Amino acid sequence: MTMSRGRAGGVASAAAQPGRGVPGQAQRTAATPERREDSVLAAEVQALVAAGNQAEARERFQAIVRLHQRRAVRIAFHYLRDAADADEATQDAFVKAFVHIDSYRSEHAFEVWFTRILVNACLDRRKARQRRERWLLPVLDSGIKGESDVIARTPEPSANPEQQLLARERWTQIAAAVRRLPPQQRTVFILCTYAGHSTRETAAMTELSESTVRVHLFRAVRKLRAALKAGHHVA
Amino acid sequence: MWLNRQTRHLSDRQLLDCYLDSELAPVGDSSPALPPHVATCHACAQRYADLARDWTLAAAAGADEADAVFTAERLDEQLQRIMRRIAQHGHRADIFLFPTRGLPPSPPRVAAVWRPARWAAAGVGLAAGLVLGLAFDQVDFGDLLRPAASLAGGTAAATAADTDRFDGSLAVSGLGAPVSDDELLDSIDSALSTRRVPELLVYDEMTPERVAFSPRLR
Repeated sequence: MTMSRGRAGGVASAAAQPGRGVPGQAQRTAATPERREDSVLAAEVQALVAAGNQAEARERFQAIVRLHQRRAVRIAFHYLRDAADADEATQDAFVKAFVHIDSYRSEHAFEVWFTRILVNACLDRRKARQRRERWLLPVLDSGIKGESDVIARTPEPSANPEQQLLARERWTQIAAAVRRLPPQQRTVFILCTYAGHSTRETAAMTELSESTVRVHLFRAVRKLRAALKAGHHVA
Repeated sequence: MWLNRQTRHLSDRQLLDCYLDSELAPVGDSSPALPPHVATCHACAQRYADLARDWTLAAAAGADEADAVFTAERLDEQLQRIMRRIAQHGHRADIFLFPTRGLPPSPPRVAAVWRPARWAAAGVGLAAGLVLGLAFDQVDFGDLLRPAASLAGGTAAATAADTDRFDGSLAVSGLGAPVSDDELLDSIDSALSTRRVPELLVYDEMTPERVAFSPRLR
């Protein structure tokens, strides 16, 4: 199972045993190296662009794309719930980041700056989709949506069929509950869980205060847990 | 951290804050230790574990869902597209001329006549004329008309003295003493030959003079 930044795994078992140290602490990893590397690379790209060395700048930027691409498509996909839109929004965000690299401040984390561009690109895409859905016939729309509805999640091979079914049902409930969250709660939840950003980083990306981010997150988690409990009781 | 007075346990909000602080601390920050209550209270530790499990499940499920759509091959393709777009940025799009060879001659184009535009132009012209007429009406022509009136044998007040004073010159309202025809023409010539209007100086500078391009005048 893929983990987000590898931070949250294994906490449950440790926390279930009181008096055995601080749960979760042992699982914390050091600052992800890519996070520092990307800022260094971005500063280099900025300098190369300023010097007029576009070819070298593009080559360095490719390394940045490789570092952030996976996380970016996850955010965009959960934000837009459409694979094609997420693909294009991610592309737009990277292209914009390169074109406007001169406005990047090297004293800040590149990831925060880039994620803000990405969230804005997703918002633009969503507005465009809403316009499209308003003006196009529903018949045409049925062909656009998609891939997200036919995803076959690969279950863990070790799980037995019953466990696989339960896990799939639970996962479907979570995805549906996330979709039903209000926009700000969903944004905050996506950035914190799927992308693994801290509340401070998320606050910088969304231009909200950290306390507001925490309130949104708390409400989102409460709703999701309620939805999961309800689903569990029904099952 | 304050405990709930009635239950003597951490609230849900406090538990989430503990989790966020310990598991999702900003990069580079040292994560604060969990409050001792979580380590000693079985109920709170259990709730914390449940929260961590749900969080982990949601994060993993979300990542799996996106990764199933965006496979490694798809990400590679996306990367190539991004790099192509970046490489093309700033380049002008190629313009392909429409092929005209071998095509039959196009029929002569009929000039589109848009009658409402003509009517609109006529209306604007009329309005401009009206405005000019009104503006013209505001000019004081008293001195101009008074001699004419006196020459025509008009009112008694403008009779002998006015007639004697009138010598063919025109008095322009607001300019003080009347000027003769020659003086007026001289002033017009002077105005045309000198660059006095600041707003037109730029145009004067841009306008080539005949001397500049006529070899005969050099």
